[in-house]
Amino acid sequence: MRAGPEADGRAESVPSPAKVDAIVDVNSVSRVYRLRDAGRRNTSFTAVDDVSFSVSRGGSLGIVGESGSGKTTLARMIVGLEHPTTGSIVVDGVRVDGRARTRAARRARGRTVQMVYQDPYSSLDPRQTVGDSLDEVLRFCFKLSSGARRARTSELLEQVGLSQIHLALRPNVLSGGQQQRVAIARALACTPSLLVLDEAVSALDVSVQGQVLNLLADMRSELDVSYVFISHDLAVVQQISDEIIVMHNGKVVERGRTEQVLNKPNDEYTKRLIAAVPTVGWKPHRHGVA
Amino acid sequence: MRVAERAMRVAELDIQDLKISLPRVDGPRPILAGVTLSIAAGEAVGLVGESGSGKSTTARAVMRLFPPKATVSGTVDVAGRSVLALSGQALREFRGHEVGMIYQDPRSRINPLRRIGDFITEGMRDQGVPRGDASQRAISLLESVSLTNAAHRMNQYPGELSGGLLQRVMIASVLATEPGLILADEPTSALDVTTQEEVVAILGDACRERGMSLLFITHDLDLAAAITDRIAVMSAGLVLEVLPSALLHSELRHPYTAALLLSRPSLHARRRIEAIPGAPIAAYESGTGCVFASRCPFAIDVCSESRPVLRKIGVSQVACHRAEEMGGLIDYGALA
Repeated sequence: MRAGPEADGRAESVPSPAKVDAIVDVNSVSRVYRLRDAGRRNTSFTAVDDVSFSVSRGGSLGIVGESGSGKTTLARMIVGLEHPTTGSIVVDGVRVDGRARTRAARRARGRTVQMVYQDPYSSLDPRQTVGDSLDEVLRFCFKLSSGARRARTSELLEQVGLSQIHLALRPNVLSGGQQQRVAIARALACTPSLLVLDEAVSALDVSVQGQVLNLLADMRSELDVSYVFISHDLAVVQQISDEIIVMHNGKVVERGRTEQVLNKPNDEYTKRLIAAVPTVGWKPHRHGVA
Repeated sequence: MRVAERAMRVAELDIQDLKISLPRVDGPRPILAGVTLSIAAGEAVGLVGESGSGKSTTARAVMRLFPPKATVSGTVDVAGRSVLALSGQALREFRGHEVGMIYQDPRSRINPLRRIGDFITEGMRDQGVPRGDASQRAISLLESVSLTNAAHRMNQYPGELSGGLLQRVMIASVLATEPGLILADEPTSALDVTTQEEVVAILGDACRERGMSLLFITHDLDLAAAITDRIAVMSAGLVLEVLPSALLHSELRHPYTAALLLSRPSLHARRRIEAIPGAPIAAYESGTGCVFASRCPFAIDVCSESRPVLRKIGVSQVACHRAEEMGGLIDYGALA
């Protein structure tokens, strides 16, 4: 399960030919919601508009954009919680753009892709101890003896920087950072090939956010897992993603290597987004009326 | 005239050794452990810290809002008047007209069943301004926070406006009563980054034009540095460092301030984050020593034994036993 230190640094190096194939392939995906407006007329809203991208195996893609840009809808479609109106999504060689009809298919999806949400307090069961919540996932995914599950639970906790003493605790006595570590351990329990992280560090305090970002970077170089990392925070995305796409009103307005896009943006909207981030010497400007 | 009056006074807000504790079965539990902070007339001060550090409790104390059953000691003076001594009608007038509070989530602070116009004119009507005049002023205030079609907005309900627009309405409503001091508690934390830029620019302009003092609470040091004159860093119910915003990156002396800056990822280059170990501690867990001692890379024996007090060193006030030597220990190159 754990790779040795020789695997370190893989995140920075060029992918070897074996990893060139895509873990996620999103092809011309749109998601249209039918709505009824105040006058009871039928209208529609396009949340995601003709989006295509792919993530190479072991890679990390950042999706940035402001609220309403469609990033969360896209994330939910990748994990199969929602389905595109048009277009196709293939995760690890399996199409996920339709319903998983059988229990076996749902189980297979769960083992392929997992999601980490922004608020761990509402995504963990408040009545379940940390140990039970990890055990539940292991029982669901694998046929393991209780001894083997216990060993795996300890290993998972250790991977996310927690220890045995946390096993018997419930989420309410854990700090926000510890809760998010549990949520990450739970997502990793069934060894998914893809982790979709939707604003996974946005609710954490600055000092704790740094720890979790380091943890995520380490996990990717230790385990065979790829990330789709969604955030409104450009600096956080820069820390975790090799490539990024910038979304605005459901469309991809810019894409490329992370440092390329953040240091030499081409699109006007990307430029505006980067210029609005407070850094040393930054001063806010009024851009006009709204 | 009011601006001139304000300039005469030394401090708009003066908090001295403010302590707040809550009763618990095992004895009083401190939430503020002796906060000292002052804001001059027309000055903008950023109050920065992690969650649970006491930033919001401090701001609420300025409004004389305390948690139920709290024990309070110390002084809070606004424009030379003791806030803690106020009660009844005088307290209501103080809250309504002398200070203005802007919250993180305007949607939960503005009555959804009343129109924007009613919300903004409420304070002015209370001061006895005739309805027509109040409406005229409200419209010009909405225009001053860059809202188009202000007359139309007056008749809209909060549910029809986005978060960024609603926060501008909140700012306009606070400006309406011309308070000397604005308390802004994470006013942009729920907003998109481009909207945040707009809103802080509007808020900064409004305070400068009217000579109002501003207490700006945020967890984002860089944001605070960009829009305020001075920065106060809080942790575990104490102010650990106060320094001019322009000198934050070059003159900071407290290891906690440095650690906060280092734990943020950079926008333009990837480096491993120097994360602060452990989690922020609460005031009641802090023991007798420095509240940062258990997480501080520079801690020595004395740090966990006695609590450093805020003292003046150069341009800053620092609560650190090793403040004098920190200038040589902190890697300022890594902070920028």
